Amino acid sequence: MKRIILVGKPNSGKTLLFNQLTGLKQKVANFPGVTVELKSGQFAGYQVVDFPGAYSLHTLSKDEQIAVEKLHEALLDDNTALIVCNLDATRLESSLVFGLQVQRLAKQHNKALIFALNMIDELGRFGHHIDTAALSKQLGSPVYAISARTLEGIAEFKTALQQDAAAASAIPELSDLRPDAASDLKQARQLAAEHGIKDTVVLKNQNRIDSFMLNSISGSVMFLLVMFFLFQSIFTFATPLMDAVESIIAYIAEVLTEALGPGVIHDFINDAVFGGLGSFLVFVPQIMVLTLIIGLLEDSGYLARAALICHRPLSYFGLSGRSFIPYLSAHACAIPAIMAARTIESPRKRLITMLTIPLMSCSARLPVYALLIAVFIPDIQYLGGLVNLQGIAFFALYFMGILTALMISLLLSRSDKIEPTATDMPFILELPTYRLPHWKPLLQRVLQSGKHFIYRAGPVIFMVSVVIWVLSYFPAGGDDLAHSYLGTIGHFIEPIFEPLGLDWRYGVAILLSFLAREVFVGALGTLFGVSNADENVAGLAENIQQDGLALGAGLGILLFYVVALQCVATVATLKAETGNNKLVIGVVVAYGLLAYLLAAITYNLIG
Amino acid sequence: MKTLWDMPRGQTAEIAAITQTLPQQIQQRLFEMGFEPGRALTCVQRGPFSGPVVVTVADCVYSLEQAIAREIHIRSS
Repeated sequence: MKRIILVGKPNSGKTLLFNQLTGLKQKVANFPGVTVELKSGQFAGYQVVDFPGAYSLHTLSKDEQIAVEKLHEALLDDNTALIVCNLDATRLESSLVFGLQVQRLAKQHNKALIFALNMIDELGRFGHHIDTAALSKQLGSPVYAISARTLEGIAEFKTALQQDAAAASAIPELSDLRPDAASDLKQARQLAAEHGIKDTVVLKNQNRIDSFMLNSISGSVMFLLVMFFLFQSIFTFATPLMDAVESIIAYIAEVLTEALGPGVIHDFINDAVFGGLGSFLVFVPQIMVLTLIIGLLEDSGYLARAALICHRPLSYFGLSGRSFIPYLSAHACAIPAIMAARTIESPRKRLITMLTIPLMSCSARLPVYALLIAVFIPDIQYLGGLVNLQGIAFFALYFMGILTALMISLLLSRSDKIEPTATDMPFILELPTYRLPHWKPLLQRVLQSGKHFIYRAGPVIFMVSVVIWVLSYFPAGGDDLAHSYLGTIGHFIEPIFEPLGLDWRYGVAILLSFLAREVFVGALGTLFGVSNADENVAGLAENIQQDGLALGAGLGILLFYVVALQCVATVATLKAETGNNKLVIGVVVAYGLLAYLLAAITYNLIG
Repeated sequence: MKTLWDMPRGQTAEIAAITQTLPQQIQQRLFEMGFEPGRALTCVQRGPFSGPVVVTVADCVYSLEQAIAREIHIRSS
């Protein structure tokens, strides 16, 4: 299939244009997340690819480097029919600086290029008009005025896009316009001065909001409020959704098992399928709520402000303000976060950020946290349900993870083994305009995060559940767990977990969760399901309470899960992104030992 | 000579020079962003506790940390 490539500077409405062209049927290569995704969709028989935003072909950071490499690849590809360069009509100069570089490159590869002059609705609000015919003539490539938000000019643009892609008549003629790269820059400035709107008009509102958002006092308070709201909502807002999922699963389990009648198949469906997989599906709503809030912050433009506010504090720990965004998205999943670390300008800070990202409490830990918090922390509400004690416990665990990450960053930044030769790039960050988020693409991203989580972890958890069930059900037939195959294996490894105050069942669950952390809950669900075959599958927390897990041991497990790096996919991503296997293995072992030590100390102190 | 880092909030000045010893790729990027001698810039916000300074140049708002803001020399316009 022939391809249309969509490029432009960040925050220029490019992705929104992509959504208008391709509808909601999109494929995300890579993982969905901040700035690292390469999305593709279909438009009129063409494949449209949305490239990550870039400021210049002369790159500073890894993400720009990758975007530019991909652009070069696309230009060499015969299937690339057309380049669409998206310009922000309200920021003509900075859009054109990159736009003219791309235009020159397109010409060198004999590829057709058109400009989409986006956001003309905003320009209209300021009473400004751009003469696209004149601009088009001066640029030597077609220019179409559009607004991907109000759909102004979109219909005409779609027609023109098909024509230009088919005819490839839009190959730029710049030989008579500009002799060299230096004159590209000059031309961008001249055209912006001639056609563009004055910056003082456009930036007035943004700067007024920022005088509040970036003020020492109001800005800090705002930042803390946003962060508190974020973590609290993972617990408070997701609870009704989780309860709903739980009841649905319990209902299906009841209907199915009743229809089957007693026997081995009944036990298998009840314990392995619903006990194992069911107890993990309950946590999908929490992951989706977290993705929603991070998405809201990103799309509104607040994330850049948060990065700015955090820059100075993070510098003390050898990190950059840009580390904030990967750290935050690591609370959903470490994998896109490690990739998002590509935006960090300094190679040294990027490496430290990547190595400490796994300490952020990702959504795979949520099931473990939620289960053990439900066991030990009473559900008490304060301030009319706005704050609850379990939510605070969650916050404390997340905070523990962040604190550990900062401490380890501090240690690593003192080491001369971390990228000693690389140039230290300075912190320069554009503050985009504040915008209202668009619901459709945001909700789509939220759904995708849930789907992604289920597809990635679901099969592993199901397999593990089945294996555990078989090993624990036979040869005794479910009556005597301690003398099943699993019991025998479990007792063999029990000495490792004895210093943590845990019996073999927890030991098995922890060991298996080195595949993926969520397995812990599924495995325990299956194990407790087998020993209490009549109990409701949803009541795993109650089962553990009745079984009498010591408080110190439970807190120990929690700390263990805060620190330990138990995720095959994260280790693989770290290896690929750092290119340093020894370092990554060292980190996995170090985090594992630290986790074990913390758990043992906690158990011995509290008991 | 005064630098961008010395600008109080709300002040507008003209860029005099960029330190020539900066790595070439950083100079290039600053130049593309609009930090070129003769151009006006306005300090919008001072970050709290010596945090990054916020300036408008060309049609964008950027935040720059102390280490780089000190390399952009200014004169009053």
